Amino acid sequence: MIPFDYERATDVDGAVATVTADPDARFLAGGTNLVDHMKLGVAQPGRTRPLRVSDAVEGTAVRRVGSAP
Amino acid sequence: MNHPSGPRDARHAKIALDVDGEHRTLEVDTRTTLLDALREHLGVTAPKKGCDHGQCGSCTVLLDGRRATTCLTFAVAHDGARITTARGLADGDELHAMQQAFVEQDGLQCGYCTPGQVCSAVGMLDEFWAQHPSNVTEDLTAPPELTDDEIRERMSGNLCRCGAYTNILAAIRQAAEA
Repeated sequence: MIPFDYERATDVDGAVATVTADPDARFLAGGTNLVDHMKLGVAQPGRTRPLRVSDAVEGTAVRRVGSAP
Repeated sequence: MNHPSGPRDARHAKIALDVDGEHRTLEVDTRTTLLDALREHLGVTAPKKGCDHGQCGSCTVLLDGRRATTCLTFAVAHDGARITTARGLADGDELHAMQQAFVEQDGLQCGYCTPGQVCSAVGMLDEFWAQHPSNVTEDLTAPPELTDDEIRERMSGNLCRCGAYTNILAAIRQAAEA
């Protein structure tokens, strides 16, 4: 799996802003598809952001090391 | 620049986990799955690595009270989480009712899938008692009934290559009716 930076967003707007600003960024959400695809090298996102909108809004992102800031 | 006590770079993170009632801290590569963090970093080997692709369920734990396949989630995403493995279900030497039922009903053969089966079964019954419907629930407006088909469907994420399903079903029914 390629190295990635991981970012945790504190709100939905922040999560959306991070992902829209970077074409390599991905929402991680539950991760059950993306993590598997990252293991297989099918998906090579620069960022992954689990955006869970449940009782507490929380989000996370990963960014490929070396990708544009 | 990171704080001296912080992670060494953005590809690493310091996280804290409550594992079976113990507070544990560790630094992980962001690529580390929760399963590898438990097994390889913390020495907690109750969750097993079967397929490592979320298809077999042998890595199942209760993650903040809900069952989860730890091979398909990054440890870094669970800073502060409360994790209960099959080891932590027991109260010292006293087995959890689900564990005892697996023993009494002979719900295993080789035992490799069993820690995942037991955790999944405990989480599954919680979901059932919270009246979550499953794919085979016919009437979505009424509380579901714990039929054999419901148990089979709700446990379909946990494979047993020995084929102990008949006794796993009996064990879950025994624990549910205890």
